[in-house]
Amino acid sequence: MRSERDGHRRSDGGDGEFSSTDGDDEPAGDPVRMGVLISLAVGVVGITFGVLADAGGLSLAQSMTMSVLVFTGASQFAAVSVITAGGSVAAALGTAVLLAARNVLYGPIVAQWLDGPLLRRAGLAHFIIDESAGVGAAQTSVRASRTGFLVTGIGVFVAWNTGTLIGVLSGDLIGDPTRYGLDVAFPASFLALLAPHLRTTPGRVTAGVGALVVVATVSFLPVGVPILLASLAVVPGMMIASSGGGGGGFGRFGGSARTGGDAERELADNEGVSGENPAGIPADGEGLS
Amino acid sequence: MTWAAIGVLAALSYLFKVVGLTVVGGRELRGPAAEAMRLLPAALLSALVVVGSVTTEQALALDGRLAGMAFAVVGVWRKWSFTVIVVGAAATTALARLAS
Repeated sequence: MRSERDGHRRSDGGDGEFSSTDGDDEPAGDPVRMGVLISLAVGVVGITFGVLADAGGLSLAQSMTMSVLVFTGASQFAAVSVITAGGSVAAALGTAVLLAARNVLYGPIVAQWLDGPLLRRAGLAHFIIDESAGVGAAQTSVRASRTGFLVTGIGVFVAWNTGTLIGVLSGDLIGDPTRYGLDVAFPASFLALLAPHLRTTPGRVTAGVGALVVVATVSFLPVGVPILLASLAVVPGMMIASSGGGGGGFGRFGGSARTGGDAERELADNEGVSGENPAGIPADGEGLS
Repeated sequence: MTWAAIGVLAALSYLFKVVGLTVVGGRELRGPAAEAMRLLPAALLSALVVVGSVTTEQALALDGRLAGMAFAVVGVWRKWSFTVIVVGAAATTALARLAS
């Protein structure tokens, strides 16, 4: 597996930070330690989600059901944010589903580390998130990748749900969210999640066009619909990517800059495929897969 | 948020994960569809930033949230942790409202 992966590596001199083309010589972080550290960080993000979900009118049962069963943080934040802004359930659902679609891209990578019966692998699929895929990809052996994936996936699951519970329960103590500026917590969260995507030219173009779509249409479209419409911004992004304008660009396991830099670098390395399709898997970031 | 919506979201979220793992298998996804999926979060998250920071209902609105977002921009640029960015942005907005 490793050799195949190395076959995809490319020299990416444009990004000094990722200039290595021979990842096998690099020490990979201990997968267990990395997974635990990331899980702890995600737990705190889970508290944020719980507080915002509570402020957005979700019941404790609804918030917990989301965190247990949906278990993909950016989508959960997005759904609650659209509802809080006064959007329809359909707009909230559409935005969340579109954000969750990227998890399809992690499956083929994770599949390289898992074996066993189909049913077991299907069960483990629930733990595919930005963080678990990132830590797994940071390892130099299949065995370590599997360990990293499992420790991080299950650790984040426990931490995310514990955090959500704490957040919802403490949300009751907070009252009017605007009093503490909590209404800005959503866009600030989304900005932090967006940051890794801005490191590639196609990502920047897509983000810029997406923002313009909202500004241009917010006054006459129902609340939440401009966000759905902004998804069309991937078209100019794809045109830039296919024209080679995205040189040096690939996704980074962005949020882990604070929790597991090796995972970030390795996932990026892992995904650098070719010049005409430079984007890797842009992970949403810490705790919010 | 309705229970039905949560159910649909849960089912589709899992479907995305399990399809990638079991159906696609160990092959790498390529082509326009994969590229679109890679870029979708950039489009949606950017739209969510704009909606959350400078709109109220169906209108553009500039208010105390801008102070918090300025803090968040600095935090993202300086690579502060998620928690520091979000809590700091909220506190900055709260202070801006107190001052105005």
